[in-house]
Amino acid sequence: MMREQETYSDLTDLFTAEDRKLDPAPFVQDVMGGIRRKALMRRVLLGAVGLAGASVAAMQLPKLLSGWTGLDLALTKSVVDASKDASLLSTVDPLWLVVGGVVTLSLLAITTWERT
Amino acid sequence: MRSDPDLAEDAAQGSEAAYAELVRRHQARVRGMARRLTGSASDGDDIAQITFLKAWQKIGTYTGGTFSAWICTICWREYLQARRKQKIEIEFDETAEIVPFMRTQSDEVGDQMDLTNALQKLTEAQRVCVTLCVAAGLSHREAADATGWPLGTVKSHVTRGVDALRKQLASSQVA
Repeated sequence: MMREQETYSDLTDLFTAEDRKLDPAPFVQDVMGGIRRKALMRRVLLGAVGLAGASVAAMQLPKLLSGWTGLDLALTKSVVDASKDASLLSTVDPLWLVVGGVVTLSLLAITTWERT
Repeated sequence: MRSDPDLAEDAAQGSEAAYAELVRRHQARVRGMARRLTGSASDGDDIAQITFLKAWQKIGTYTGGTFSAWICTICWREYLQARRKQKIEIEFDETAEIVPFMRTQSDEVGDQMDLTNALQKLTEAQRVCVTLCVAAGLSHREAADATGWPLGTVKSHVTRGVDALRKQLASSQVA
């Protein structure tokens, strides 16, 4: 079977000869220059966005640290206060310690029962 | 010499040198195609340049096969997009008038070759099909895939276009 292109290969040759006259160098240079420019622009844009993001994050850091320190201090203070209260109660009346122990054991028993 | 798919694979991994070689190999075909579709050297080269820039972005989607068909398909889409910006619809009717694409006098000075003139006298659909199949060397199937036109329509436009082109060339040689 004759291939479709063979019926007009003479015309294809004419077109190809016309196209061969086109100088490739300036065109290739333009295309590759465009590609490099786009890549550079993308890198600059990404860098700028990344830098802006990092700056915003860095600005939030002191606030975050102070919040964390505050939380840490509050926890420590409550634990210290609780132990102070417990020792104070025991010195005033040891019965409070017994009451506290019974309540704690009851709560533990209920919790264990509920889980099973 | 390295094959097109090998170069495309390297280009997909970021090798500009491999892509530059692909551009060098296919620039004549794509520029010729774009120039013939637009009927203008400067508009054609603009579209060809956009085609290669787009192809660089999409090179990862090239899955083998004929690279020329792949790049010509991108060129065809860019040409359609440029036309849409001008709000010129392609008329597929055989009897349609030839629609020029922003021709300027300076472009016409360089377009005086018989072949180019003969091509410009075809109907729009014939010119497209002859440009894709005869000038750019795409098979009828590849041209049908690129344009989205039915295979039979492409074949018919190519046959009639080639006949008309031969007649035009013969008459210009006699004159």
